[in-house]
Amino acid sequence: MQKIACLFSFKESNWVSCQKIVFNLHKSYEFCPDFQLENFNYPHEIDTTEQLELTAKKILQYDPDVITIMDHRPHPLHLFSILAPLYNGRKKPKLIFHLFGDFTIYYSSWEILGQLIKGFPVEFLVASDRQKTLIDRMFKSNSTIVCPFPVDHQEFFFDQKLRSVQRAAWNLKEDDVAFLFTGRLSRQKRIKTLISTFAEALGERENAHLFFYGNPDSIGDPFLGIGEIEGEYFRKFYRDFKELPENIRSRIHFMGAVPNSELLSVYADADVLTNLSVHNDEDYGMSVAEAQFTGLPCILTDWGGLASFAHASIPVATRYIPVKITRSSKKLDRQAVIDALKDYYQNPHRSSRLKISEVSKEKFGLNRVTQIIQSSVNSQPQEFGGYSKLFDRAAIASAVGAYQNMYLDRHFYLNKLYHNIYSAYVRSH
Amino acid sequence: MYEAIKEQFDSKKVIAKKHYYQNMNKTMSELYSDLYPMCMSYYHELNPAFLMQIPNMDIMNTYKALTVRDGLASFGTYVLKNFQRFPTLRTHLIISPALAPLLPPDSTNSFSCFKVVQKNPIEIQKARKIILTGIASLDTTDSFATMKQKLDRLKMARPDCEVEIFFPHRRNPLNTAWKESSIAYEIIAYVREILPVNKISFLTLAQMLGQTTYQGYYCLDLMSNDLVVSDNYLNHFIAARGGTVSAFHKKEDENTGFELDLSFFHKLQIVPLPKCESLFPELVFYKKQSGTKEYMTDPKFHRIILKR
Repeated sequence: MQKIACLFSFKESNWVSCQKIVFNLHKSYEFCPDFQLENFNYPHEIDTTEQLELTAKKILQYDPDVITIMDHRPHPLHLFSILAPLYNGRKKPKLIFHLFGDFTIYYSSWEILGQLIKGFPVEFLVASDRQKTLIDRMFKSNSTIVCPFPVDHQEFFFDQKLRSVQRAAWNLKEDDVAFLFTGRLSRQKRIKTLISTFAEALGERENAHLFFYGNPDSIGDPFLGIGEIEGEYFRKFYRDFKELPENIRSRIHFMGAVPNSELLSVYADADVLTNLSVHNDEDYGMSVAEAQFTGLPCILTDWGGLASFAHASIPVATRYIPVKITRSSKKLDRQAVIDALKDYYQNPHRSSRLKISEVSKEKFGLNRVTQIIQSSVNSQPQEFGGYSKLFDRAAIASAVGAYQNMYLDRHFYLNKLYHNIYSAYVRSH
Repeated sequence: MYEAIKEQFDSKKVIAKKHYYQNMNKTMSELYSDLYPMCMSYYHELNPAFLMQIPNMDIMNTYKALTVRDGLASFGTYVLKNFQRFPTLRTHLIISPALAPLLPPDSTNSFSCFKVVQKNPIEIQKARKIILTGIASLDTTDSFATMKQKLDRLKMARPDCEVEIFFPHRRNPLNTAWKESSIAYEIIAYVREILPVNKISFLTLAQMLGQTTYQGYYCLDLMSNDLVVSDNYLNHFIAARGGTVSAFHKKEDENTGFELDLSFFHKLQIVPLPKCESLFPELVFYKKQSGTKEYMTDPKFHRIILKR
């Protein structure tokens, strides 16, 4: 029996997808019969030093074989600055870090943490192949392990009956084709492009619908030097939407945010999930994984973690839109989006849904992730070997300026550092 | 007036995105900190901004229209310092109806009003959660007696309704007195008196702004005496995420000549100035009598403008 100390915030993250990730990761740990788990609260709002010391002492008293850091916030540095010195002269537990897409925002914290965890056996787990490519470039000798963020098959599954019952709620007929986006309505999710390509590709098709679930944000694209203020992106895409002819507008539906519990029926109703994200933190795609569990085929950008949702045994499960990093942006192939929308409109592959669901379960289910975790816990201990030169350059750049400017040259074009890091997120890296 | 508004809308150019607007001087920067996050910038094509933050009138004149977010104190100051130039003003100013009494009667062509309307508001008695927002300082709140009247609406809350409070203590932004306000404590005690068993929690700024949805929330804005801010960022933030905000209107104004959606849940309507008694003559008299040009921080000036 291995003693595992699970470190995460007992209060959920504001980042909706991360709420589920931590919860489901924990479930995967629970499934390991030879693990004895003990949870330690590491709240999002950093504790006082006194509270951190108390948590560190509790962990030390528990004497775990493994400490696993499951959450993306707060950064583990704060706790480890107190916890790591307590292990001087003692047997050090293995540290398992589940890394999220925000790794590239916190270079300075990772840099200091790197010093603190020297001598500890470590394992870094990332959610997708391309995130592995990116993070492996940051380490001198450590190699990350791909461990997808799991989906619970009891929450998301294929159910033909649910589809027929729920479709009435959308007032759709059986031959209507419903394209779906779930998530933040954000600039880096290319909502404007999705609206305009839908209008261009299927504007004349009276039975084609596009549903959006989620609220707008104003994150902008800070790495590209594009800041937004509250309401700005909403006005940008909504203005385009309002300028469309009424017969198209009436088939684009903004449904707002819904609780997680309602998403199963939303996915069941829909025919195709469409996600054109080129977000700089797109290390995975929790909504895509959930949608595929219900058997939904997906039109996705060939960017970051979204590339993990291709299934060789059922190619129609995913259609990829090429993405290029240009001098000043991340450019997706607009014509490819139009073609994909038209093709899936012609054939939404409804008969393939059961198979897509089954294949996804194999790949991203709790059981699969439990196996990966088990083998990581039991793998040969490897010490942290430090960071690469690329990481050092990124850490210096982020320390010199705000992270928003670190990837821009004096002409506000994307610099070599950005290309060296984020080329991992596009094909042919 | 609607031609200027339409031209501004089509230009999409807003001052809040400009460096010269964002780079504030020391006084503005202090004021901004005191009022944070109520004075944070937000976007729509009719150019919401604080006049007190615009370096000069020449810059302002490059915009066809501007939605004024200032409160009575800084807008009154602006009027007193610039009313003689109003006939040559090239920017159409859209103000909160609360500011209308301060206008010179012969300049009203350059002004219209805005109203914020919610599309699907809920009543306080149906809210799953009620959130109380404001800044605890003498300048930003009414007297406790007035406040109590607002808080009495909590008596209609559902028995299982949770209450969240975001009411940070701040220095008086207009520096009228150094006296510390105890209103936050009084409010909390009174809320507990009205709702003895309901769950009450206190939000930090990060929790407040980190929330992605406010659906099912009713927001009781405790800051609406309009002295320092007449268009509060936090209200837009909550409304845009589905919350109902007490300071916003529940019904559309039929006199609108232009409107735009601010989110899926609320919109801005442009309406003519309301008919109201003008305080302008009194302001001009005050200007001649007072020995100061620092109107914004003068308690005598505040007494006049709060008469409206």
